[in-house]
Amino acid sequence: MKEFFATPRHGWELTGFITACAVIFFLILFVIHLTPSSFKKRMTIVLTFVAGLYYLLEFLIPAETHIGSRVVTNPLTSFKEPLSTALMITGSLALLLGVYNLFRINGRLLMRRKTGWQNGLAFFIGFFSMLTMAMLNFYFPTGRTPEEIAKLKPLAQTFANGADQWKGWYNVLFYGGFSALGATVFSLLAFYIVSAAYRAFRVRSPEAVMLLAAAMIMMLGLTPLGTYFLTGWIQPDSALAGLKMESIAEWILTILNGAAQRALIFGIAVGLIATSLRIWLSLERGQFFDVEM
Amino acid sequence: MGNIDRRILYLIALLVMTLPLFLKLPLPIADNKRSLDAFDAIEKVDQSKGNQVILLSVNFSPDTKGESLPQARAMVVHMLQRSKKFIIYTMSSTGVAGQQMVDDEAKAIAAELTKQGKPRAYGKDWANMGYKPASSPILEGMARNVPGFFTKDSRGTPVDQLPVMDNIKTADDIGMVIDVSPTASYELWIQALTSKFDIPLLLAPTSVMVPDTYPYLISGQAQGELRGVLGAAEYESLLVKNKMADQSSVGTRVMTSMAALNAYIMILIILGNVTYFRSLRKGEVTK
Repeated sequence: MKEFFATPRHGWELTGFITACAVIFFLILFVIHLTPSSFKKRMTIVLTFVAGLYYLLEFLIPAETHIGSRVVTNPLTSFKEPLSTALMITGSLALLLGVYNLFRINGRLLMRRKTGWQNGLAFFIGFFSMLTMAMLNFYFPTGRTPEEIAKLKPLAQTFANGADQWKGWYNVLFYGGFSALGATVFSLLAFYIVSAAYRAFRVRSPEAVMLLAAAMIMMLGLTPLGTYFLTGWIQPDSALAGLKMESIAEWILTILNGAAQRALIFGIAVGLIATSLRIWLSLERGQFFDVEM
Repeated sequence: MGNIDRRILYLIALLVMTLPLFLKLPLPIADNKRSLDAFDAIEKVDQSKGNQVILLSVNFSPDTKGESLPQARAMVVHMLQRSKKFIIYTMSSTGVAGQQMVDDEAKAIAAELTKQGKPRAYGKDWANMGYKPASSPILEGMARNVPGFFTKDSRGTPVDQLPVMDNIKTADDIGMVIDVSPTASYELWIQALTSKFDIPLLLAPTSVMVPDTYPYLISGQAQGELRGVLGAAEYESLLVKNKMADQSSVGTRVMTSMAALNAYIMILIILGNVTYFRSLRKGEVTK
């Protein structure tokens, strides 16, 4: 069965395969939709358990077992990769859902001329201009020779001849627009920190003093401010080398921070196991589970 | 002094951050063990048998390019100077932008080196393998069949037509993984690949993520680290010392701004607390 799904297909065979899969998928979805709500819940519980059981057994069963002279490999391992790929593909549907949602919200804003409809218009202009230029830049890249362009179909030749234009526009939109704006928004954090430093960082308790002291040492130890101006005069091989700002900062990161981070990692891991177990055994209250089992 | 207008604070911050960039006042950067270890780790990658390619995993978006791009650039300079073959890969859709930026930097550096008589070419010295979403099982699958995972590069060239991917079949042929990312994607590499197959891992997180990485550095699961833009500046300093660059690049220039901004923030904290304690003494506020 794995070979049936994993065999590469091309041309009409591929189209037919995808169409057949889509039809079967929607048929199954339709049949499930017709079933009563209690059946859907039970089916969700069973499928969740089976899916989790697969990964648990795949992990616990040894990769190879010697039975007499025979070597038996774990039969579940060969399905791991295709299943993960299938999961990834299912997850990518969320991307489509996100785009659909954006279209719906901004489209409604624009069509009904609600307050802020200009933002909706800006969204559609940005979306389609970036999509168009990125696709033109991808399918008609610069660097093609006239002989290579001549082999294309007439319409494609027209687009291929404008490759420099598409690249130029793509660079303006991507590097000049998207990239620069993204970095700018992140950079605003610096100003928030400046405001917080003056208005909010108050030494109100001994813990606040320790926090502030550690923060000051880190700021001094990780920039030339401390390493050069403050303790730059201490030679690295002298007896006082441990008092260099970068050494103190490294000590805080390694000893104090390292211990705390390890504790966090363990705590998160234990919490993750507990939560995962509850989800696997359908013990979580949520959208599909009205009553804890 | 009590209540300085926010706009004045922001204006001074802007001047403090930007003036050092124009005045070009590079400050000396202290050596750091983590950056030194990262430098030595790349030096030690032995590609004499035609395998041991370096996998540069770039997962940053334009938001963090201020820190991540100088880190990636410094290591790309090192690898191209020493003719260490590498492939650029991203596992996140938002990382495609960063991947493109690093590829563009590699092209520019390669062109510069070619002018200096050290020819470097795309496909032969490095390749951009594009975006492929990954999870732990998928990376484990990649470990068994690398060309099966990277079937084409970002330009559509099949992997068997890329000289950089010659002799690269399994995880044993990967010499190192370098993770340049503002997220904890290094955990996925440790879980799926580097710990299992004993592949050295270098980290290049943003400054905010640095404390989170220390347990992995202490335990030896990561062999070196570039700590944010400071790490990039330290690495550039190492490149200059080892005559792989004539002068320090953007990482070092930015450090002067960072030092100035840190000094400004410390002054503001002290000023704010002095104002607060004065008000306490006058009875204007309660603790």
